[in-house]
Amino acid sequence: MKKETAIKDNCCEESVFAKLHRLHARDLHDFIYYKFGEEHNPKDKVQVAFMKLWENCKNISVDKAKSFLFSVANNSTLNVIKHKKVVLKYELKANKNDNDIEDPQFLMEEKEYMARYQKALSHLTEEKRVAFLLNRVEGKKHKEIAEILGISRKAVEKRIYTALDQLRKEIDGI
Amino acid sequence: MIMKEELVKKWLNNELTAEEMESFKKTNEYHSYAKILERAKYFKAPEFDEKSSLEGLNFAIKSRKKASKNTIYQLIGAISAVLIIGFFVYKYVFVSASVNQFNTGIAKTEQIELPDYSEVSLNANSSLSFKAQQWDDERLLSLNGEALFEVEKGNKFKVSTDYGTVEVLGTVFNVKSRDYIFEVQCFEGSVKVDINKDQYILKQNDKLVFYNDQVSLLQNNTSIPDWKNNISIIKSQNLGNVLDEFKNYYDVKFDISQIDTNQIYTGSFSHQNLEIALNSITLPLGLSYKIDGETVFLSNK
Repeated sequence: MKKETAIKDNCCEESVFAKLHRLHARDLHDFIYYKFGEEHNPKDKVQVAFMKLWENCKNISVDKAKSFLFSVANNSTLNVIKHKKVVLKYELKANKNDNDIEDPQFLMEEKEYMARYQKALSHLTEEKRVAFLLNRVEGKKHKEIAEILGISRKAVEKRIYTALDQLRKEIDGI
Repeated sequence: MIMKEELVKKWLNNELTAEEMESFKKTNEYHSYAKILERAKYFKAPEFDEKSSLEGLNFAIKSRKKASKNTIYQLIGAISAVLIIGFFVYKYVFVSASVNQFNTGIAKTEQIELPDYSEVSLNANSSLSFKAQQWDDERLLSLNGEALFEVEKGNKFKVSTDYGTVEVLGTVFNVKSRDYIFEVQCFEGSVKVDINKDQYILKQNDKLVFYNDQVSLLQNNTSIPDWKNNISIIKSQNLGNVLDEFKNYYDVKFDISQIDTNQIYTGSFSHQNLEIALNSITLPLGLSYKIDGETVFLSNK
């Protein structure tokens, strides 16, 4: 039996597949979430991407699996949302310490600030938003983000900066 | 402006020198930037459960595998489905054409409906069999143990036991056929009992007891056998027989090396609580018991 088309080091092995899932599923989920928001069910998109990987496992080597997963997840959602604004949820309670809770004016200001922040985030292009949040929230290195988005590290750095600057201008009402 | 961009990028990368940091902190924008970065974490993506995601995937892959087998497999599946169904149909027909057998374990009872809708309640540690195929010609059952019969009207209904046969036309009666005793109790209609070449006709409330090779006829006004009330009522039996009866309802062994099993017991015991049942037997006889695992040691007080 010839197996010319099958790549030797492929992802069909169950343990390899499970390992890939362990390594990339969370990042994939976060990426999809920051890019498209919760409405398009990032968890499902993760599963769809991994199913695609499984179906094509013979032709995908382990080192290509990551980029395959991200492009599948990216493409699977592209058609659905073209011009839709992505509004990300935020949780205020992370900030609360006892003093803040007792100060209603502070709470009020904080609420207003976060609402402006949310709106400003939704006005960012998805590339900027993803780069900014993956870096500042998930702590991803420029290099990793560059891989995920398929752009250079310089471009990642630039996006993070412009995202921050744009957020500041909008939040501060400049 | 270019200056500022480079400064902020360096700051983002933690590459500012102490001096640069000092001057950057004095700019108007610094606090805005810092607050934005600090608040960014509130937008963190929801928790992702890696494990359950993988489990979901494995499940999806497995069901996909099953679904995506080609048509040959589907054909094989269809054929085997037909074979399996055929097997069960055959088995059902075959079994009903041969002997239907029911067995109950210790402390278990079973309700059985016969082909003519007559009903049998099979008591614990008993077996009952009949041939469904020939049921229309002859209503014949064989019983080992104890059962209550509620017989629909029709032709002769026979219960065959090691002691003899019990024959009726339509009635309610209880047959007890244990190693140590044979009893027939009639609750409705009439029953004919064939035992030791003698025939006895039992009417309502009549009870026949065959014990120690002797037949005695008694009157009993209960409308239901004792075992249906989860109790055994015993009249003047030797202790050995009582313990045999006891073992139909409790999965225990008796150590009787220290007692006389020929002493006579009259009384009753429950089928639902081992200790209460043991007390019911041992207290009147002045015995005491000790439970060790599945063995009950009996001794004189």
